[in-house]
Amino acid sequence: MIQLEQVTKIYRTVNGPLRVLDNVTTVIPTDRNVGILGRNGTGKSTLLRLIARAEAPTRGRIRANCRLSWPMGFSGGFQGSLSAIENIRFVSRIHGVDWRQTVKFVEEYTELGNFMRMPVSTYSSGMRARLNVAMSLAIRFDTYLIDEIPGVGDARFRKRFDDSFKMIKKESSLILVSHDPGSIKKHCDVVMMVSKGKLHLYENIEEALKVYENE
Amino acid sequence: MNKDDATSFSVQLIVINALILREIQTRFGTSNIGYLWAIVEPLFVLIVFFLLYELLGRTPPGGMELVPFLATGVTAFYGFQNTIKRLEKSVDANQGLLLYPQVTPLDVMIARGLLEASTFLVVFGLIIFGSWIFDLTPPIESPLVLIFILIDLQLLAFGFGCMFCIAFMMFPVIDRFMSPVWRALMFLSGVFYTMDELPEMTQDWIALNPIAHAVDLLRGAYFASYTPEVASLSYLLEWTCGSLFVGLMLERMFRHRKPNS
Repeated sequence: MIQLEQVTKIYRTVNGPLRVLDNVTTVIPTDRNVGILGRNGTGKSTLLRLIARAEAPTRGRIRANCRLSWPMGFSGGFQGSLSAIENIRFVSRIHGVDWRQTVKFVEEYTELGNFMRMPVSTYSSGMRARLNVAMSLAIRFDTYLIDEIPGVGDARFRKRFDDSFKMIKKESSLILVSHDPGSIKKHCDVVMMVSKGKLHLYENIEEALKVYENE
Repeated sequence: MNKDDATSFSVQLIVINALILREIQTRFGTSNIGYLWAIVEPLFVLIVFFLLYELLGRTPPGGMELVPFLATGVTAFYGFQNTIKRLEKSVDANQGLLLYPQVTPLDVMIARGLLEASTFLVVFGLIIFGSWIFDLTPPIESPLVLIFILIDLQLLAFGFGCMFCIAFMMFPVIDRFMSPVWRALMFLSGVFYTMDELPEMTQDWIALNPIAHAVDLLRGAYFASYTPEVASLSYLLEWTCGSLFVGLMLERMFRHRKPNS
């Protein structure tokens, strides 16, 4: 589980300080799949990055007792100026995984071919999504932090993504950020709603979606 | 928290290692001559200054040989400048990788700093070796002191590099101001003269600059014929400790503000 203790996150903006999370104390379960739901700009992605320790809270502490992935999203996690292979080497090295095997796996999964040797910044969003999903499958975590399930790409890869998520869910749990009720319903067991700097846990997904739609 | 301390140190080593390998790939691996360029460039600068001195018929003060005079001056200064410039952009250039919780701005800076410092030492060594082959240098008087000062100069650069990196992160505009500052600094750092030969009033001002101290100390360690009067090792070390302290403190204070995406 992930414990948030009096977590506050404030960003400085041109319009003055923006309080994204306001003194939040709560527990996010990691033995079930959690969907994080909220309107655009309410701080869903920020919450995920805080949990992943990609960013530090302004005040408060966040503790986790399991191995968490980095926040996986459409674009994040890759250095655009490096090729896929160079990125994979780096990520494998810092996670203590053999990079040759990872490269081989990603090559087969993504079918990126010669693009594997080109800078990631030249990829289309569909290709990035493929690379992202493949990378996340190559390294095992207890809980995967996912910022929107990629819906891009052709039908064949969309099916492949879906199968992959089913596979991940067998051994690990998900924390999934989305503003799409459909994918939350499909992949999650409980919902964490972000609104006005606070978090609310809903055990019942239908109830959460009703609140979300009326907001 | 404490039980992870031993492992967090080894994680940091793994991260720094991975970052160095990644830096080598982009810094040196994009073109075919790759790493060679990082070595050729400072050699080229040295040769240009060598020819300038020869053509103008100028000689270094105190009977110092020209090549080591330039190596301890121009090359040392460029090594200093280069490390700071590379550190300044280090966080910016690795933005995408800071997403991984293991990777902190400090790791990125250490990786770059180590790489630049070792490249600089290799270049310096090559110059000395080359001039030894062509009989352009006397034997080094105190090699260990020389190496110590060279490393110290790189540490000083690391401290300032951290400061500039954080400053650049917060106010990217400072980049524009740096270019003329560097140009002026080159003439204020004792690269083309020793502090000892300056008139007293100028000397007082130049002696505030720690780089000028480092350059004179390098020459004092290199040439048996030259003993610096003004340069002070303790002054240089105070600046080094000070810059490292401020640089690392700033990194710690502003680490959480990494401006991601």
